Amino acid sequence: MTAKRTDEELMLAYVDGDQAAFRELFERWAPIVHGLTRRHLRDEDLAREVTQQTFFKLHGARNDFRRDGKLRPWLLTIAMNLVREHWRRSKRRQHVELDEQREAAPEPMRSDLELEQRAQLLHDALAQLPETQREVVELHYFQERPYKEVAEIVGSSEGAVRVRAHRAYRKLEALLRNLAPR
Amino acid sequence: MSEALRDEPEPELAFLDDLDAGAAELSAGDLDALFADVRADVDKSGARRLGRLAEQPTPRRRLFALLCFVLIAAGTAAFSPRADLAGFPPLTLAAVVGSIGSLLTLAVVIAFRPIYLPAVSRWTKVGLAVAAIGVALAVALLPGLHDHVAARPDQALAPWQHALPCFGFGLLAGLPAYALLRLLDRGAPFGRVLAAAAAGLGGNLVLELHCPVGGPSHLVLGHAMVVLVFVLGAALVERLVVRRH
Repeated sequence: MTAKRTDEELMLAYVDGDQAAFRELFERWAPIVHGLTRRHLRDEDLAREVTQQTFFKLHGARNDFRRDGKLRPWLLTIAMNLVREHWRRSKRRQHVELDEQREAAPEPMRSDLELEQRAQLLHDALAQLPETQREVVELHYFQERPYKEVAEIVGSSEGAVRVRAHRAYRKLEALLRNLAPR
Repeated sequence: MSEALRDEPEPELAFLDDLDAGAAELSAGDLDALFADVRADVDKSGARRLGRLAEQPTPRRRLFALLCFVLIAAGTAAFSPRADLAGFPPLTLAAVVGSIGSLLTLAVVIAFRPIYLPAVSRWTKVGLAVAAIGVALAVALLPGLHDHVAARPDQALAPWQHALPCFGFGLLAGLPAYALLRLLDRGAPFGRVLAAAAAGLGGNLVLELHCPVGGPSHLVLGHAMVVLVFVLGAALVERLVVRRH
């Protein structure tokens, strides 16, 4: 029985020409990248497109991968850069239709519909955060990255990232309190 | 959700997980379809032989780009030098070549910054492109830099007439470098504008090493204009591309 290869071992194998390693990396990371991009872009098709681009860019940059490198910050930084680039190019942010959320009547049990609505609520609240705070919440909370790594990914100091996260969480709490169906 | 990696466990934020639980996940079929799309993109890029230049390691891409500029400049100095090159004060020559060369190098380094590193801000890139135009204008207009020149523009000709051959020569010198830079580029945002700034500076450097004609009108219209046209042309294309997407 062979041990499960690490992300870095898979990446190095891919650099050496192992095509199956790329597929394995994709299966391991595509759902995570997709979740990240979906929360940011709030558009399923766009999220898939950016996920696709992330892996294509990873392929293009594969020869830069160092033996002592870590794959996760690479992938997350590529995805975040592509999301930012999308916002820059589109020069628009989707406006949140809060009224629709308020009108949605919750069911007593957690049906699929309710779960979907709750996810939408979270997306709406995240969308109201400034981009710099949203990406920190994404990486720190949802991707479970320590502040030091978040700082490396977004290209800022650890202290600044901590402040951003703290402000973002407080704002999210307040937003969700206001947005939640009564 | 694991707290092991958290710097500050914040259990009161568990409501975020709760809310996120209903978000749509990728099914196995979705994953297969998405991977097929990635594979198709990868195969398409692999089929282009020249396209593989961009897949070279980043230090090598930067080296190729800078070598191209060195070869063009050295070739000009060796085979088509300005008539007064021997009389060019060494310090002035070093200042001109150094200022153009260092900005050109910076443009190449930033243009080829890999996407897995935090992006350099757009305004830094815009600033660099503007600085390229500024340096070209400074080299053309700063007093003292061209006091030694062997020739003055023919007064019988309009400024654009005596500047046109130099302008064309500078563009031609910068174009191969621009083409190579684009081939080495991995599609970085604003990459074509920075490549154009570097190519324009390369053309400007070639003119400094080749043309002995002085005079502000000639130096601005014939030499500095090369950088301006490269940068503005690329910025226009960048804008059109952004609009198309």
